[in-house]
Amino acid sequence: MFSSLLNQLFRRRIVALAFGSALLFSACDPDSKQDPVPDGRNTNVYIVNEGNFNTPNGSVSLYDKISGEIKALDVFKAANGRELLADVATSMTIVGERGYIVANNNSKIEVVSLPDFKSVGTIAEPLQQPRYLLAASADKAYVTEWVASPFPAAVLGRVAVVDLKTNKVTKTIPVGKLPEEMLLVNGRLFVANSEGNTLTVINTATDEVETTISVGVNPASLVLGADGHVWVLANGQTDYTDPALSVKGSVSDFAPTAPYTVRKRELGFTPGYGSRIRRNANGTALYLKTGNGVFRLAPTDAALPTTPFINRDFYSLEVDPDSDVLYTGVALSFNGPGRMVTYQKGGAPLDSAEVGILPSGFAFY
Amino acid sequence: MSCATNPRWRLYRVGLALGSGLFALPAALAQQPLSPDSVQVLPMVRVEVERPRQYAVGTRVLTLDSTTLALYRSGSLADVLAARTPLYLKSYGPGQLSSSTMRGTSAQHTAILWNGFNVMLPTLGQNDFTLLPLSGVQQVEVQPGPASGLYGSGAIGGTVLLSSPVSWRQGFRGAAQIEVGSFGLGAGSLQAGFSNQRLALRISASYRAAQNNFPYDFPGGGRPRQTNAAFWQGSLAQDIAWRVGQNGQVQAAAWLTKADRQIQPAIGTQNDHARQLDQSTRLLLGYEHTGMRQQSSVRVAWFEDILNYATDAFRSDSRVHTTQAQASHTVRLGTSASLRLGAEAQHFAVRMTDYGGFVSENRFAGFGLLRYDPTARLRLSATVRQAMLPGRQVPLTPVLGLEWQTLRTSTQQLLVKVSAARGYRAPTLNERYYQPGGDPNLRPETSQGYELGLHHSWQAPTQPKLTWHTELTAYRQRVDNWVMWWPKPGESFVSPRNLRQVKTQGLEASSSLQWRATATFWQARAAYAYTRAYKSQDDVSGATITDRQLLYVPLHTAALSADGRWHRWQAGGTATFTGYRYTEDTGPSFLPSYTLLDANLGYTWPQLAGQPAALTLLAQVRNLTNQSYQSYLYRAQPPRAVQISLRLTWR
Repeated sequence: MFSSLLNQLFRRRIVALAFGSALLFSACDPDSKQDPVPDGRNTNVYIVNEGNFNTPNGSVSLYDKISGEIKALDVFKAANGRELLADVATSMTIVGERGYIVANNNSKIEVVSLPDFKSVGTIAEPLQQPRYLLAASADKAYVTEWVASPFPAAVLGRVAVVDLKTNKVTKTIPVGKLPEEMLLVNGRLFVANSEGNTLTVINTATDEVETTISVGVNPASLVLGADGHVWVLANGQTDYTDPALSVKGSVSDFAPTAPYTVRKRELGFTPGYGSRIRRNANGTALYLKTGNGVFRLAPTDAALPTTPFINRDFYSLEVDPDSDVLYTGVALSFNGPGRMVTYQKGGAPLDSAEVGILPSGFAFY
Repeated sequence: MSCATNPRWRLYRVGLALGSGLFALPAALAQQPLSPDSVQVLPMVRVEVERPRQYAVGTRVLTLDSTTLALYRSGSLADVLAARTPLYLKSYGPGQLSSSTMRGTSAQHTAILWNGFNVMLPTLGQNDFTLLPLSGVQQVEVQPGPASGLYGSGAIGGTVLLSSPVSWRQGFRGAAQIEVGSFGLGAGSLQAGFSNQRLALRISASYRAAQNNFPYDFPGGGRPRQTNAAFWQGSLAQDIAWRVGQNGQVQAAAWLTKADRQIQPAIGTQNDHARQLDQSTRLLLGYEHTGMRQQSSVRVAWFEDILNYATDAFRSDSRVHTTQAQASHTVRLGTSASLRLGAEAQHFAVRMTDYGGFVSENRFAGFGLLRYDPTARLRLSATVRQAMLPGRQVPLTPVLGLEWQTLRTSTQQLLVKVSAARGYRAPTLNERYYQPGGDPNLRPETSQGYELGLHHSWQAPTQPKLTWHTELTAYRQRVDNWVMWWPKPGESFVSPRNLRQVKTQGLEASSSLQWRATATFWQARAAYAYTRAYKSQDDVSGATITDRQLLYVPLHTAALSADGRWHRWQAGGTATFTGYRYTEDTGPSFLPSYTLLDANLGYTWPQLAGQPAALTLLAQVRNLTNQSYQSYLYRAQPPRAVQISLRLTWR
């Protein structure tokens, strides 16, 4: 009698588990919340979240300047009903009513229309590890590419010329190793080759390399100052085994006309990989985002700054050209969301919000 | 998986009942009635050497018996654990990287021991469960919870014990198997064994290869085929046990495994042609001297682990040599207690590009294990281990256990189990020496846990034989100094840091019913685990403490199985449920829950041509319902797949 009772109990339990489990437990899954598709006003800030290496979870978040709210954590998914699938989302550039999101490790650029963020195309083959896109006109853009060579061959970078009407690469121009950001001044494209110590100068009328300019070690970014000079931050080189062997960074500036006479001044530290130079709307303030904090200088300053303006290590920094507000990305974790923190131009914190994994850049629409 | 009776207990009791060369615990332990079959398969006359498991009283143990393992003979530890237990294995795909989470901890918190030696890769501090082919071992036991007092470093969330118990006087036995399956799967194995009363030999060889070019659902539409996921792996294992004189026994074992795998890229990423070569050589030599009241044992092991990983743009090669030695002396105290004292030494030598060259490290540990059974119904154990790591203090790691038989009738018994334990994990060589980022001053992780279990067993008083085992375990656990790789302020690389404290509590329930008659055998099992794991401290600046479930730890998991044999036919099926898992520390991202069904059907031709040989044809279907699911984010898993095997056994 006892045994039959136990048997019954057991059978009921088995049945419940076997046939109920899928329904029962699946019902416990969290809701897959769909963010609203943004209606779009000209107050949008797009935050590019790099995501994890070798994982297509790079994304773009949408921040609304008026309400001060994140309107969509993943605006591409909200607008298109599918994932962006960007493996290391590096940057986003806005050209007119188009947004270009560069996915570095899966070698594609997703093109979206703005402000609805609908996918309208991709720029892919023959791009190899694209990094940044810079538009020369409404129809023409340049894209830096790292170009992966079979290990252990040297990695040689190049710049692709892209026809924005057809989203096709029309030409590639060999430059230095690991080219990063570019600057276009007076018909000359200056490309920062982030491994080495040079900038490559390309004549945008012929799309031919004219010359290279020597600056500090490992330049990755450059801006135009209010003084009309090109300002370059060289990140230096960190030696991980012996810090004493690390190479310090430097700031160089030159007038953007041949023969490009460079004034180079050394920093007292190694800014390190990922460091960037940025400027306010009119170029009267330059910001050095480094591993030692953010430094501010004016092009007219006699000496380089030695104490940080904001003593915090950011993953990214951009200045809103409308307000000169500083938008910074904080990489809290590789396993979870990072934060966006904004600062007034005087350095006072303004706002903060949770965004995606490793916020690596901002685009203002 | 039997959560209840450990065959080792039976084995040992049979030895005792036969009244032989006795070095064993008292007869009081022989509580559960012996089943006729266990007597049949155990013709031994001498009790084997006790293993540390004998000192693990009061903890839950899952044992995968030979019947269960037989269905996965050409597969790996990952395959059988995923299908037959509620353990969650993070897996990239079939034959691909696979690691476990036990009781809410990380992959580095499961210790894996092969014949008593830790085989975790010293560089990573974890094992890829796919790289442990089942053909190389005869028995798999899983003991959840911290137990470093017994098993040393890494036994924080649990321990997996791989072993090949010796069977004496078996004569010659052999088996050969070939297998083919979907998506280019091919596998084969050979086993041969011989034993008389003084010598036992066993050799096994196996290989498994697949193209893994299965179709999968692409997000946003389309159904491409998987690329860069082919693999080949092989295993060669040999065990020798030799009785020397009246009291001595020499044990030697060798296990060679090799895997050459393409590493399946994440969905939507560019194929960077990642390829990994893993090759491990494991050699073991031991001598045991067993007297009437004492036993001494000395064992040495030498391992070589090669892991070479390369992509289009990257290459990392490593070669680790591990030398380990264990010595112990066991004394029987009176009729109801036994005490073992011992010491262990480990030497690691690594050549690795990412360490900037050659690195070596020594670790030592001393331990004491006590087992005391004051009455026929009460078993107690207390073990303690003190590890010595270079430059770092490790706390004493005790394990205390109690089992009390509260109810015993002719048909049923109820056992109460209680245990409390500490665990530790020595920092891995990567965590200490990797450049850039490695931190030689990292503290060891420690854990402490408690568990309370009830084990009920029931057996029909009449034939045919029907037995039923049910076990319920509740536990709580805390891990301190949990290591995370974190971006170091002012640097572009990550560094390991002792960042977190993690708390876990949960329930584990299992029940199995077995029915056995002359030509029929039927068994059903159900197991469920509730695992609640969250961080309770975090030293990262700006980190918030919520009770959010840890990423990749499903709250609910369940495994059901039914297997039967009727005359020459056999059939079976499993269902496993894996609850949703968060994929990020915070935020909404998660992988949805899934249920997988497997089924098999087989037929055996016995007594081929009048010889003691049998041929078994077995068809297995994996993912019967054709689920599209992911175990690990963006890694495609195969749809429904078929495998057919033909196995010839001699005796």
